[in-house]
Amino acid sequence: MKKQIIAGALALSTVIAIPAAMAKVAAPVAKAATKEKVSISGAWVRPSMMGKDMTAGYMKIKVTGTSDTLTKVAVPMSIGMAELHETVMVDGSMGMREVKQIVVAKGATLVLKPGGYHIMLMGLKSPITVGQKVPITLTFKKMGAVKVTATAVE
Amino acid sequence: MRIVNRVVRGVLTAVAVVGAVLTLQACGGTDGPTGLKGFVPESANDVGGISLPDIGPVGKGSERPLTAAPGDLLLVYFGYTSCPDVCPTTLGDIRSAIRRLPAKDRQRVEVAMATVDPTRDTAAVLRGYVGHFFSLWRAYRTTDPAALMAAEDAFGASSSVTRAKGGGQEVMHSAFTYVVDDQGHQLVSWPFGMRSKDMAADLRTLLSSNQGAQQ
Ligand SMILES: [Cu+2]
Repeated sequence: MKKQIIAGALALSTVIAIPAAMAKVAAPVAKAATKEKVSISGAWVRPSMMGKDMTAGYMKIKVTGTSDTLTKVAVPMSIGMAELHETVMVDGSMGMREVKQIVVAKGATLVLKPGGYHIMLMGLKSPITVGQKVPITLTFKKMGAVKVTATAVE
Repeated sequence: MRIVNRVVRGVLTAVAVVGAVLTLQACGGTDGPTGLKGFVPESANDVGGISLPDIGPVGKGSERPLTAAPGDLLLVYFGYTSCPDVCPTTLGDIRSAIRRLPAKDRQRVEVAMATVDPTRDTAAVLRGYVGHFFSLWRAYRTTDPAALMAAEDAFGASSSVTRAKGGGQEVMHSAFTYVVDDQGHQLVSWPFGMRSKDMAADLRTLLSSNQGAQQ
């Protein structure tokens, strides 16, 4: 599945400007010593099933130069709404719960994948079909908003 | 906007820390004496006495045992269609496993999904869902909680649907896939995360050992 990810998702993976980051950039240029970066790769969503207004999205999030905390995930209102979820096993039973934030250590990669953390897409206004691009905004405590485009693949 | 159909609200909210690459241990199944990749029940687990209404193309609502056609295999999964992560992953893996089989063997594997959430999984919804994944399928749906529980017990499965704070439902369910023969013997079970290639290997092993029964 991962191999099918459109290259565009990778290209779009670097940090995109947001108010918080802008403020940083506005400081003296010489400050840019540490390479704080969030890079996202392999972003994909599962096409929604017939008659279902929900699905899930996955990706790899690598944080370099600093530790950071993922606090929020969002999709445009025209698509629906998003939450950060985790699939958990309790007494041999699987279910999901919402996760308020995920701390990612410096240099670590947070992997969102089936059976683990995922971006839950709910209240879909229309079905998500194969090949569709879904813009997702991730908000980090330090790095601010990071945008990525996930592609719907089976 | 109110999300009526929402699956799980944060009944338990959590702060998670990721220190390194997170991996969910895929599968604890070790190669047993039979060479199967999944879990082989220690004692013969007989589910032959269990039947539920099959609303699929063959059953059309009639009670049918959860056993395979003569000489074939039936894969049984207890799940629900409003499940965005675990269920479609498992069913997708099963589909891939079946596609790995030679054409003649593909005809001998049928997949049955039994819904653990019959309130939201109406007959039409469930049929559309299971039919999306498979060409040979059954969809078991009972609105009698006792009947569902009896079936789950026989397989060693379990599920619960509870009302969540946000007004939606919270569903917990064991996410195994059970492979059953025409006698109702549970031959092997696959945990969530089992690779389709391993599922396919088990299917090949079981289908070849079942060859005689087919003639
Ligand atoms: Cu979820």
